Parts: sequence; structure tokens; C-alpha cells
Amino acid sequence: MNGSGPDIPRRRGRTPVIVSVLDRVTDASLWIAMAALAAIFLAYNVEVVLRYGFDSPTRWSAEFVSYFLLVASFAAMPRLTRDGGHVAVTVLLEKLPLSAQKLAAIAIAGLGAMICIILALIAAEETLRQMERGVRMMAAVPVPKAAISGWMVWGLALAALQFLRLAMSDSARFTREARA
Amino acid sequence: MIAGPAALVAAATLILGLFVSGIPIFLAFLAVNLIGIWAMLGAPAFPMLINSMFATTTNGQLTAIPLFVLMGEILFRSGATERIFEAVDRFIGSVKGRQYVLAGILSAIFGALSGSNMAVAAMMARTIFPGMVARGYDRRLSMGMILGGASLAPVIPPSVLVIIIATLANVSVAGLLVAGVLPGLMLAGLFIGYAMLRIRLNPALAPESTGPARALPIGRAILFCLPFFGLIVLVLGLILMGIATPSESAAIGVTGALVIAGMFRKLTVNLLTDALRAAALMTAMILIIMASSTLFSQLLAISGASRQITALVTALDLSPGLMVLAMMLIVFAFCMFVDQVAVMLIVIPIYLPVITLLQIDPLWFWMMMLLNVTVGGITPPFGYAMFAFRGAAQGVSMSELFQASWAFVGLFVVGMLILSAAPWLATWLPGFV
Repeated sequence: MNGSGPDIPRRRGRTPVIVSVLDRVTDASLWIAMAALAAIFLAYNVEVVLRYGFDSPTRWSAEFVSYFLLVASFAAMPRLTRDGGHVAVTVLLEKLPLSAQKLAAIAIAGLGAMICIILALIAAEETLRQMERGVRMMAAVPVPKAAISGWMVWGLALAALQFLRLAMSDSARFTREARA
Repeated sequence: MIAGPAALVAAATLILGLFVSGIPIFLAFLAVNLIGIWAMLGAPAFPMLINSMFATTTNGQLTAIPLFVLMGEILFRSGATERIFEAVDRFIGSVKGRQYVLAGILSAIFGALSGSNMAVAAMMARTIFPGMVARGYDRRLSMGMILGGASLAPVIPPSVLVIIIATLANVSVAGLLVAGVLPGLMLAGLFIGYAMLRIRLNPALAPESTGPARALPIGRAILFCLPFFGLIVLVLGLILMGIATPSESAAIGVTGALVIAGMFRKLTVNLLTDALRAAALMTAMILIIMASSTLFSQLLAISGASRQITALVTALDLSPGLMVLAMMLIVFAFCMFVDQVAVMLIVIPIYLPVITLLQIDPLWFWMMMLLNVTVGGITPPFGYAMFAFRGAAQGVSMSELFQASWAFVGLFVVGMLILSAAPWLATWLPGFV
């Protein structure tokens, strides 16, 4: 191994480019989720004002807020994964010895990556099918369904990468500590 | 193909096993659903899971969740909480044991604001609890009042948990939201009454009253409360009068929260981005769990388990009262160990055919269930509000919190008994929706 000894502290302090890119994309995705939430808020307010102020309710607001809800949920999912924000019952896990806890964290992150990637693949296949068949939402404004379900692929795939990143960094740290 | 009760037992065992192993709840549901589809329908049916996730996250009713969360986030950052604290402190006056009353009322108000019992328990443990102990108030009773008050967060509207339950149980979101008003107030009254009774029996539990911390003029105290109470009345009023849906009311509530933040000169770009970020993450956390779990109920129906449960209940020939008691006890036991949202996601599809069969008023039943899962937050050994309290307070042991919480768990049970005897507490207000 080329200069493995002195290199280790330097590598610890530097974020690999691929991880840095992943983080930037994840952060950008959260901004999209925030924008989607703001859009839900604005759409409802526009609807209320137009309905009660001008007696002319919109045709689109009810549908669009539901699409934005999906976008907000899946676009924020990768950042939630990176922050370890998913709800879990960790009380029993915390009773385990520290080394077992670390191994469990690696296994859980690995399982998360596996499940999310399987679902991302299924969602991608479904989205492609919708695109090929030109499936549109049954609504007043018939938006292509793939334009919405594509966000599921995005969120699940990015979340899978974040789980993978967690599994790999936890595993590297665990190996380093075991060697030390 | 696995079918009937065997499928139900296998799925419930697997899900609970995955929960206690520390796997995120949404992953546990996804894993069980993938296995369930594969075992019952085969791999070609996997897109069912994606379609059910799509349907859940595009359910317009659920947009009330991010909007209520956003409203709470803006209000919490607007400086309204400090003013409410001062105003309530002023209103209580010089009653002996006033800090217990203050803790109970503030916990309930902040619970309504935030909808999160953990957030309120942590906030009150950091802010009001040290002062109570320093003034000579009984530690356990102080902890209990804060935990009890914080537990009202999911009951007093607006409540995210109510929207989840109503959506899954197919009852009116607006109806179930307003159904929580009277039971929530009744429980708050029970808590304060309990504290007063304890002080009467043992005056050493509270020091002589020193009055409010600051001599705030009463008019100013009313002025401090007006924006907050005005907003809650506006949101609930619009729902009650049928003028707006819960989601539209929530959006108007967000507008009101922005106005309040502006009035207190706290409306900045940073406040907006912080509130939106917190609301987006909270929305993803809740919606992803819900989306992952929805197919579970469909798989139960496909396996025939739902039908067999109904048949089993019919064969048991129990009275509706006994049946409700049994269903509540199961949930109570589950909530001692498992997260309340997760418990609801498992039991709602199982209980739904039973309450339809027994012709139980769904609004009353789900309000009872809401109180039941809510108390899980302060029930030892795994009450999450207690962990939040301990994390925020200095020098508090878990055993102290356990001892402090049991009395309030008991008061919740008393509240449920009252609600059983007087179902109108839950059904009267929804009659106006």
C-alpha cells in the first residue's frame, strides 16, 4: 500500500470528491423540497383568495399541491437519511456494547441501501413504462405521470447512496478503530 | 401462498422484530411489504408497492401535515412563545402551587403550537423545570406536570398525529381534529386538579406563592396572547364553520404565523428558510413512513387476514365494550415499547373492520385510540417524551421520571374512562363540521 501510514490522517480530514458531490446534490434536493413546500402554501392561499374573493376557484391547485407533496417528501428524503433523521426504535440497540452498536449501524445502513436501491429500480422501471405509454394524471390539468413519479426515483436513489455512504464510512471507521 | 391469520402473525412478528432491532421504521415496513408481495403475489407485483407509495404521497389531505408543521416552526421562531410564557404567568396570579399550573398550561399551549410532545418536554425541561426545583417545588410533581402537559400535544389541535390517524382510518380529518379540543381541555383540567389536590393533602409540595416573575399589566398580557389565540381560533373556526378544509386552514394559519413573526419583528429570510427546512425534513420523515406502510393494509386484505379477523371477532361474541377494552389494552402494551405512529400504522388496518362490524362511532373510537397512543410517550420504560426530558434537564434520572410519570399515565386512563362514559366530549364539536 502506497504510503498508507502517513496518509491516513490526511485522508481522514479530506472529503472525497464523490462524497462532496453527493452532499451538494443532497443539499440541492432539500432546497427543492423546501420550494415545493412553499409552493403548497402559496397554491392554497391563491385558491382561498380566488374562491372567496373573486368567486373563481382554480382548476389546478388541488392537484398541484398533491404533486408538490410527493416532491417535498422524496426530495427531502436523502438529506433526512444523511442526518440520521429517520425514526427508529433504538432503545434496545443502545443497550448493546459499543462495538456491537457500530456493527449494527453498518448492517442497518447496508440494508437501507439495498432496500432503497431495489425500490429505486422498480420505481425507475415504472416511470419509464409511464413515459413510453404517455401516461398522464387523470386530472383537470393532465400532467405526465412520469414527471411526478420521477421524483420517487430521485429520492430513493439518492437515499440509497446516502445509506451506502453511511455504511462505508461507518465500516471504515470501525476497521480503523479495530486496528488501533 | 401464506394466508389468513398465519400471514398476520408472521407479518406482525417480523415488523415488531425489525422495529426493536433499531432499523428505521420505514425500512421495516418496506422490507415486510417486499417480502409479503413476493410470498403472496410474486415478483411481478412489486410495482404495487411503488404505486401505493405514489398514492399516499399525493394524497391531498396529507398536505395539512407540512403546513401545520410549518405554522408551528414559524410561531416557535417568532418570539411568540416568550410572550405567551409571560402572559400566562401573569394570568395565574398568586395561587399556591402556581408553577404547577403554569407548567401544565404552558405545556398544553406549546403542545398545540408544535404538535410534538418530545419538543415540548425538552423545552420545558430546559426552561421552567430548573426554576421550579430552585423555588422548592416537588421534583416529581413538576416533572409529571410537564410530561402530562406535553403529552396533550397530539390531542389538542392542530395535530399531525390526528391527520395521520384520520387519513388511515378513513374518517373526517376536520372532524377528528376538532374532536380533540374538549378531551384535551378535560385532561389539562385533570392534571391541574390533581396537582392542586396533592398540594391540599401535602402543602410541603409547593412553597408559598411569590406571584408572577414580572409585574406585567393585565392589558399587556392579554395583548401578548391575542395573536396566538386569534390564530388558533381562526384555524379551528374555519374548519368548524366548514369554510375551509384542514389543509386550507393550515395554509391560512401559516400566513397568520408569518404576520405574527412580522409583528414581533422576527420575520427574516433566515427564519423562513430555517422553518421551511425543518418542515421539509419533518414532512419527509412522516410521509415516507406512511408511504412505506400503506401497502401493509392492502396485503392484509389480500391474504384474507382482515376477513378472518372479522370472523374471529364475530365468533368471540364479546360485547362492544369488552372488545374496545381488549383493543385498547393491546395498543397500550405496544406503545410502551414501540413508536406511536408505527403502532397506529399496524393496528389501524387490523382494527378498522372490527369497529365497522361492531358499529362503534369511529370518531369516538379513534379519539380514544389517540389518547391511548399519546400516553405511550410518557409510559415507562420507553416513553420518548421522558427521554427528551432527561436529555434536556440537568441531573434527572430515568427512575425519577418513571416514578413521576405513572400518576399522569393513571390520569390519562381516568380521562379515557370519562370519555367512555361521556362520548359527547369527542363527538359534540365534530357535529358542527
